[in-house]
Amino acid sequence: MDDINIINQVLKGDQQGFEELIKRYQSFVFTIALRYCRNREDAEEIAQDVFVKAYRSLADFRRDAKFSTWLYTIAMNTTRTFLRKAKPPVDSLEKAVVYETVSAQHTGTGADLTEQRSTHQLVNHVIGLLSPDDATIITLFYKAEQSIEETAVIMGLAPNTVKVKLHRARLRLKEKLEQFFADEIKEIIN
Amino acid sequence: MEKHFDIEKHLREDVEITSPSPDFSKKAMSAVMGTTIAPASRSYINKKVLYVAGVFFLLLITVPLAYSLFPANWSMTGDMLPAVALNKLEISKYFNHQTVNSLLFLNVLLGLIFLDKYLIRRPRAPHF
Repeated sequence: MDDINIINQVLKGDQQGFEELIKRYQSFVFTIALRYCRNREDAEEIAQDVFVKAYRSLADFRRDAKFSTWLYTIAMNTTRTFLRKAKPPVDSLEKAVVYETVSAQHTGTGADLTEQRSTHQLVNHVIGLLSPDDATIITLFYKAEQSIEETAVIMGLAPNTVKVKLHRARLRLKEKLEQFFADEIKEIIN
Repeated sequence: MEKHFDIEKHLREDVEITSPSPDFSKKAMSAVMGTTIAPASRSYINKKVLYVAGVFFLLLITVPLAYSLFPANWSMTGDMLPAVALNKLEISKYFNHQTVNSLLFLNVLLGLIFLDKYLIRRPRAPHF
């Protein structure tokens, strides 16, 4: 059954039908939240809040966009609100330190990491090093089947900005992956 | 020596989606059960109120505009304008000590606003 049919049923009073939508999208909503707060408990709290908000506003869902696009937009807004409320203003500095530490770690021990991880894990490790915005754009575009325009709506950005961010994120990712494997080869030679 | 990656392929195949805890859907459903679907906003927003507000703001713009343009003499030509003799123009009359001070003060004020905005700007987290 497609999303619209489920929504129609829920709007007619079948509250349990909403569980199917939760099961269908919980991982995507959870991943979006996790990209920003990097804490499973907070991400679950946000994801739950997203589904409650979506349920309450279900009658306002106009069918001119995909349900997933609408839901992910709620997820983005809820995550931003959560971060605004939860974070003290000095957090950006803490975050900067985390990025620097992680960045230093992966340049110094790239070869060790590659030995331990497959390319699959490495790709996800490197995505984890991207900014939350870039990582979310990649997730939405490559995994959540959202177009550039839909991703732009979800992120609240212009489509061209999303295109540029996606392009840069791809380049950074490629560069980092190549660097990891170059380090590995050097280590083997030495 | 570099290994080249088909980054598109890796992104399509390898990007992981993280799942929440196994009982997440149950917990979310129990939270949902405690709420009700709000009526669609289009059902309670009266379009007539929106139209009236629109007309009001339109009038707020057009009436003063019409009032200011109505007495204009559209047939006025260039020679009816007061003549300005550029050679007799006293610049010091307009560009005096007070004007310079005011402009300097304005610049200092703008500089302070700019400095304040610059200093309160959050440092951006470096990526990679």
